[in-house]
Formats: sequence, C-alpha cells, structure tokens
Amino acid sequence: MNSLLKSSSPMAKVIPMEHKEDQFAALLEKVAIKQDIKAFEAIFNHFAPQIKGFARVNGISKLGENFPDELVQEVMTSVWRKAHQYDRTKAKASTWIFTIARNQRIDMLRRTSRQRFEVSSEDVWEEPEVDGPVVDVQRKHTEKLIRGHLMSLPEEQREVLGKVYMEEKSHQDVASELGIPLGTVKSRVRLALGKLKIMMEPWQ
Amino acid sequence: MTAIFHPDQHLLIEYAAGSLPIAKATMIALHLEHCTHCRQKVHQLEALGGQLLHDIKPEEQDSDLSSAWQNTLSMIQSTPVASPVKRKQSLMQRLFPQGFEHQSWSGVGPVKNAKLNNADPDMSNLSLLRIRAGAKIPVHHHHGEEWTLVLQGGFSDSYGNYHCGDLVVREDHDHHAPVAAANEDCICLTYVENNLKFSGPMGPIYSFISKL
Repeated sequence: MNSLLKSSSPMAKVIPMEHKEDQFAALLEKVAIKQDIKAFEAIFNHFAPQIKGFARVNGISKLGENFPDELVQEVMTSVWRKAHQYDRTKAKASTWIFTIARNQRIDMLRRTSRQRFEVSSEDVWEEPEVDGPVVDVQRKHTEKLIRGHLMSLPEEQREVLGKVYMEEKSHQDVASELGIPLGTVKSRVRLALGKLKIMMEPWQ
Repeated sequence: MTAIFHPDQHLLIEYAAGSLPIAKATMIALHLEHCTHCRQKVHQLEALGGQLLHDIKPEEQDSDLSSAWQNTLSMIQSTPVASPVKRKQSLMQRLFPQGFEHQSWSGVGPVKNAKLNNADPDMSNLSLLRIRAGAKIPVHHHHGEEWTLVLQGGFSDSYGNYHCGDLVVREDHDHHAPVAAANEDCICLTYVENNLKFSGPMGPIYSFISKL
C-alpha cells in the first residue's frame, strides 16, 4: 500500500496540485454544460488509472480480472451523467469523484451476492453537501491542510490511512493484517487526523 | 435539531471510507440528517479520501485503459444524463415514506417492534422499536453490539437521556434498562448484531418474544 502513495515534499506539491484541482473542476463544468468529450477524456486520463489502482487494492480485483476496468467504466459513466450535479463550492473534483468511486465499489461488491437490492449505496452515502459560507471557508482551509501535510505524515500513519480509505478495511481488519492492537490503529489514525486538522472533537 | 450523542470518530471514518456495512451506515446517515457537526466531519473525511485517491500511484498494469475508454464511450451514449435536480427526499422519507403509523408493528404491551418495509437482506439487522410513553424495557444485555438511534421522542437509561437524532452504541455485555420519556411514544431504529438476552425472572419469556 505504501508504494501506492506518491512521495514528494509537501512544498513541491502545493502549487501544481492547486492548479490541477481548478483544472478538474473546470473540466467537470465543461462536461456538464457542453457535454464536452475532450474535457471528459482529460478527466478520464487522470482519474481512470487512479480508480483502477483503487480497485486493485480495495477488493474489487478479487471479483475477477475484468472488475477493475468495470469499476472505472461505472465510475466514469456516473461522472458523465452527474457532471451537472457537481458544484465546486461544495467539494473538490477529487472529493466528488472519490465519493462516486466509493459508492460504486460498495454496490459492485453487494451485487455479486444477489441480483438486486432495495437500498442502494447512493441512498445511504450521499454526495457532499455544504452547510453555508462559513463551512465553505473552513472546508477550503482543511483541504489545503490535507493536501499540504498528507505526504509529510509519518509512514506508519500514512499506511494506516491508506488501508482504511483505499483498501476500505475496517480498523479491526487493519489491526489484524498488521498484527498490531486495535488501539494502536485507532491512535495512528487519530494522530494523523490531528495533524491534518480533521475531527477536532468539541464534545470529547 | 441537534443531536448530543454522536458516533465515535472511527465510525465516521469507516462511514466516509465506505467500509461500514450498509445497515450501520444507514444509522450513521440518519444521524447525519440531524447533526451538522458530524456532517462537516464527514465532508472533511471525504476530502481526505479524495486526496488519497488523487495520490494513488498507478502501477504499470493499471495504465492500459484503452478498452475501458471505448466501453465508457459507448456507455455514456446509451445512458441518459441524470436529472439536474437532486432528490430532495431525505433518507428518513425514503425508508419510512408513510410515516411510522403505517409500519406493521408487532408485539404486545408497551414495547412493539416493526421490520423495515423493504426486504433488503443487507438491512435485516435493522428494526424499529416503539416504547409507549413512560414505559420501561426490561433489563437486558447483548451478545454483540446494539445501536439505537432515536427517531421520535426520547428515552433514558443509567448512562444518559437520549433525544431525536442521538445515536447510542452499546458494546457486548452492557446491561441497561431504557425508559421512554413520559410525553410521547419513543420510536427508535435499532441495529442488533445478535439476539438480546433479557435478565430477571421474566427474562426467558422476553427473550423468546423478542425472537418472534
């Protein structure tokens, strides 16, 4: 999993990433407004390999060798269909595409065990909504911190986050796999989120 | 309406990452409908997911996507574009479109149960619980987790007072005896990993009834 995350200094990433992020939001808007195939292709070229890499580690590849490609197709088709629901004030392009990939993965894994289900992932995992301008400012601040500091987290914290998010394992599964106590997994996650300024808990 | 009892942060992470089973995720999603605070946390956690997805370093074998591109092109031509207006219906309305009165409640006395109307097997651990205003549920303990989300009214136990939107997660072997608030019937959505065990002289009878 470690090899899955690109290592580079945080400083080196900040500017180009920010630029690219705007670029993907703008591309999604072009797809939404003009059904722009060229814009869609640019999104595909960047995100399809990421989604395939995601499928390789998150259990989709275990369904069969064609399934990673199928996840890419399902996710990208949803991106095309829903592009006009994307709102750059609510989420970054990568966040929005992540939520679609997460939901499609869940339904793909559930679909193998039965023909149909009555409650779909979309019913339960909604796409990001925003709660007002203050939250929007806070969100941008958090995104900047995440982007800037993710790569500078200690290896053991980044490894655990990777397993939780990209391999979509429960904390217990991560603990079993790494042969460390559940409490250690939870504390690594907590330390990482603390550095990224996520999840400050006023009630605790 | 603001909830006071929130899911543990690790549950929010598993929800945002998509590893939580759908029945538990449903409980979290219904809590989020009541809780701006946890909703914001989930947004941040999804942004983290987006960044991790963005940072994946694809391997050589992931780079051949020419057939996936061709397939995607034919799929988008045969798929209509989604409605620009997103559904305004909440998860609550989707799960209980007719309200609680139209659920098929079973059970006798102050405590009634109802299965969810949909027959999705992934949701089979979820059921509705209705406690008559002021009534008490016999002391019981769990083998496995019991989650309770208050949807209407409120209840209390030795650990606290719970109101609409509050999510209470009880671990294995906790003993508790909830009492509904006096002013109205309390309706909760529950997730039960295994059967409940009731204590006291009537225990075996309650245990038998709860399995009906």
